Amino acid sequence: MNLNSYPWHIEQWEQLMTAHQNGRMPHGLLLSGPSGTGIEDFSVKIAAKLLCDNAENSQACGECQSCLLFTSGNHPDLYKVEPEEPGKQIKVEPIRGLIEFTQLTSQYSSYKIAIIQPADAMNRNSSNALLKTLEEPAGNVVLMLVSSRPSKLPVTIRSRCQQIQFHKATEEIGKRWLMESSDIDTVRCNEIWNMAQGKPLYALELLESDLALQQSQIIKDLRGLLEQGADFMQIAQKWHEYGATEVFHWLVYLIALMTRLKLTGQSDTAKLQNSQDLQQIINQLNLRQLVSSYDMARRHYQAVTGLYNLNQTGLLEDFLLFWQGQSSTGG
Amino acid sequence: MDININRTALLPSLQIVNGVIERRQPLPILVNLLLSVSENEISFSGSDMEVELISTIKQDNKSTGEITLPGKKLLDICRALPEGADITIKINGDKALVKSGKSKFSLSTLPAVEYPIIEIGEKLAEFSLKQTVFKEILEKTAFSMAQQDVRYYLNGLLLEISNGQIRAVATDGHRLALCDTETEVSAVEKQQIIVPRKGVVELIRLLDDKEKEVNVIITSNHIRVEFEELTFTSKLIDGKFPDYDRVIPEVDHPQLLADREQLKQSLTRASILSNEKYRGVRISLEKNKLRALAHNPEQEEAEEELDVEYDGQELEIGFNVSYLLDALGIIKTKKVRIAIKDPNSSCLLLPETKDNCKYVVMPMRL
Repeated sequence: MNLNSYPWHIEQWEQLMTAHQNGRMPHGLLLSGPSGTGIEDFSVKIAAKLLCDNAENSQACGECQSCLLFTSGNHPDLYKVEPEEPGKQIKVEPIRGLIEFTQLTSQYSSYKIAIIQPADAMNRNSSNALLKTLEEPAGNVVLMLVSSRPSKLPVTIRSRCQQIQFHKATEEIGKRWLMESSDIDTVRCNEIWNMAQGKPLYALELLESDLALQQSQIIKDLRGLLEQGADFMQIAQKWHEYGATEVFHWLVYLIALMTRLKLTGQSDTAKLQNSQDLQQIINQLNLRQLVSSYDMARRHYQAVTGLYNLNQTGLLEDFLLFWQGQSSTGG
Repeated sequence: MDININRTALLPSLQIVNGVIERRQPLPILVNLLLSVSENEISFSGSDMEVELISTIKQDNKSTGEITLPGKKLLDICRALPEGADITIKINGDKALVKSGKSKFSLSTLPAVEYPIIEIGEKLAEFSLKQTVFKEILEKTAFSMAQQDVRYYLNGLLLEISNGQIRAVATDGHRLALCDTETEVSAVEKQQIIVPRKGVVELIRLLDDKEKEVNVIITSNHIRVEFEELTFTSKLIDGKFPDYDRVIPEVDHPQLLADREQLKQSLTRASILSNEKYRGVRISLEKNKLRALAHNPEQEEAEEELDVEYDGQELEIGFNVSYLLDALGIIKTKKVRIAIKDPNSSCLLLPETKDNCKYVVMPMRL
């Protein structure tokens, strides 16, 4: 694992390094920002730096005993809490483990570092159990709560943390990093960057997985539903395999984009993939239909990412039926 | 690297080190043991992030090296082999080959550099103590430690190391136990450390009733106890113990002297009919007489009377009887001395003759 920080995190990195050098490292940190911009990695890299034996470097050296333990995942002064499975809650048991960890002395370093990721996955009991430790931990503790949806955290947690805000990467920095991290040409880089909405790590994921392909398939399916009345049950099945969270996330972005294009009357879809399909959809639907589809996609996105376990195929079918129903009244 | 060893030598060592390995480990490598082989020693280290044990076997070896391998599985293999079997462990690439007679096992390994072995920092104090003595001061105080209290500094045992004296103190906020012992200490200045509950329990288990000495080293983050063939290291609780001195009542002479066993039995009987949750028992004292009264929400009552030596004022005082019984169970002398100033202040229990152990119990309003 590369322990160097990302170029679009310089500001936040330096803010914390200054605090560290002045001995004023906050003990409760809330790292918040859009997903896909690498805030999870930021917390891990800061932890590696704080635990690294070579204090004079600006980044973790990756070579000392501490860094070796760190990269093998066995550093005793780092405690990570994650849900048992992605998307599930963080229960109170691992939080109790974390509290016990903070109460004992550290093994090597002066810091004891704990990372909770994503912090908004903590259920009510977990958050409440954490409050006292977050307010006044024993010894030299740094508790990092990582969340791309900080508004979902209880206000009692938020008020006990120093918040560090992260932003999307600028086009210049993001594209340069993307070119360096993968072997693609400028054209492909532009294409991916436009899909990635300012999120470099999401861009990389698009490149390395079937995600881009799936996204273009989703656009085709949307058009198909409007024109030939394709079988929505089949599509729902297929989209479910893509992952409902990903699909709704993409739909929210996509429909917002189409609405914008409709409003401004621009036909500048050329730099996106499937521009023809998009243009076709925009021509077929009126503004009201786009906006209500957007509302529905957004609502369902919140439903699938919420704490309740809803039937995901059901939500997909609901959206598809609604979408298909628009073709008859469209124009 | 390869070693030859007899099962008789290997098994006890593996058993003791596996004692600290927990099934659910926060770090993946901690299900493994660290095996280090030097020219004249073989050592096994096991850890659970809180307590680390290193067991050493003296034996000459042809080759040296370090590797980690799954502890529980190695132990189970050794245990299942016939008594007196010769075992060879050979490291081949990323596998450890364990052979004995016609049995062969191939275990997965992880590199030793990834194992978080404890390196203790600068020594703040060092002393040697007979195992029996060390065990005694721990056992006589450990029962008063708090359990999972939010005041986390109470979930352990305070060791105070000053010139020529080691003191153990434990309290849960309702009662306190203190025990002193004298010994030579090399320390920079007075040191206070809090050993977590788990470390205390483990240490009591390891300390033997034999007269042999152990060497104890204190650093800012760890306590290390060196036995002949075993090294115990525990993290400490990162906090400050409350000022216990103010809690111990100052008494010129305790007014009450009672037979310990009789008092204990009286209170045990009375406690049967006390409130199950609060365990309140009323004690009333008059000249040379102690009465214990208890009643429960069902209006059942118990009354016990006991002849004691008492020449103080007449008074009535309430206690959680469990705390009194705990202290009476730990004191070993035939008689026990008790000092009670008034119904609103703590009472002090002392063994008949020595003053090195003190037990304080807070009263309760009934």
